[in-house]
Amino acid sequence: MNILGVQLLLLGFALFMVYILYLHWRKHEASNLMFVGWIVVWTIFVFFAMFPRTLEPLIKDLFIVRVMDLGTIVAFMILAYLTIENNIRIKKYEDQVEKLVRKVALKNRSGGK
Amino acid sequence: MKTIIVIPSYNEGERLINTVKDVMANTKNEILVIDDGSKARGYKKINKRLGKLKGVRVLRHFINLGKGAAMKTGAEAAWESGAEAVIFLDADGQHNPKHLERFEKELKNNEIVFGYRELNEKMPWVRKTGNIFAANLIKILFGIKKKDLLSGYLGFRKSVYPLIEWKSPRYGIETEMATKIGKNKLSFSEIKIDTIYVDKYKGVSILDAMKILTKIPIWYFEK
Repeated sequence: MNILGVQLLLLGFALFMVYILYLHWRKHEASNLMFVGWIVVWTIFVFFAMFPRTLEPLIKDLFIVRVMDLGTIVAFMILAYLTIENNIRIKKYEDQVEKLVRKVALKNRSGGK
Repeated sequence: MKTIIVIPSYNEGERLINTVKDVMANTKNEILVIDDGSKARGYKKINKRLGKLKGVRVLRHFINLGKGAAMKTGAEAAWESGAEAVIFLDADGQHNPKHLERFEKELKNNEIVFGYRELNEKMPWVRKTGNIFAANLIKILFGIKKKDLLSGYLGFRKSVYPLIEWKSPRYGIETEMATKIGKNKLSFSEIKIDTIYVDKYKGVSILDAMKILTKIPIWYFEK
């Protein structure tokens, strides 16, 4: 019963994420390739959520006790990667914005008498 | 030596006008106000009044970037105007412009000049503790002994700008500058200044101070 609850939760989350992705794709904020790519990712996610036993050979090789533990480890790894990636991108955009704002300020300087 | 006084400002309103007038009374040098994206209505009013003052120029960031970024814009605008040195002071009136003359004199013999405040009872305790802790950390890591690490009343010559050019867009510029001075083994002089703490809620918050402290080790490993 518990497992079914977790599976339902994961399925619901995956469907919600696909819906969010669909909204962005419809507004042309996500490309076709990005949309299809993420659909594949969430399909794999749903597959492993529904059939966790398919991962059992892998968890034995990795000396991990439960599939849930593997999921947690992988999730943390993905989150850490995304955090670093986002930080680098934000810093890059901040630098670009700063340079742009400075350029405009220097161009539009106003003088006193 | 052509020196320009740079005043970064953000939503300072009437205080900025008073500061500029005080500065004008204490120096004949050109004054450059960098408005860091203040609210449009207030800015228009203030800019109109500043425009009537002789020797005052205003540059505006169309969005708020932070004090460090405004100071950088000020320095670059000053170099473009042919200045050989810049002196920075805050727009809120906490830095007494009567010291400008000493800064100008010191800059003739020193490439970098910092104002320092005595760590007396007037300084809020959070600032005092943070200042002492950061100063010791900087001393250990960078071998630089500064009397006041967080004072924004400072000046330097164009020749050292490439060596001390800071990246911090918001607070922490003074600390970052100190780390670069230490790394490049630059000499500097310090002038005692008196400071008025105009507002308790303004300036470096505890969170800002924490961010600055965590950045010190990063600056140590940075090229």
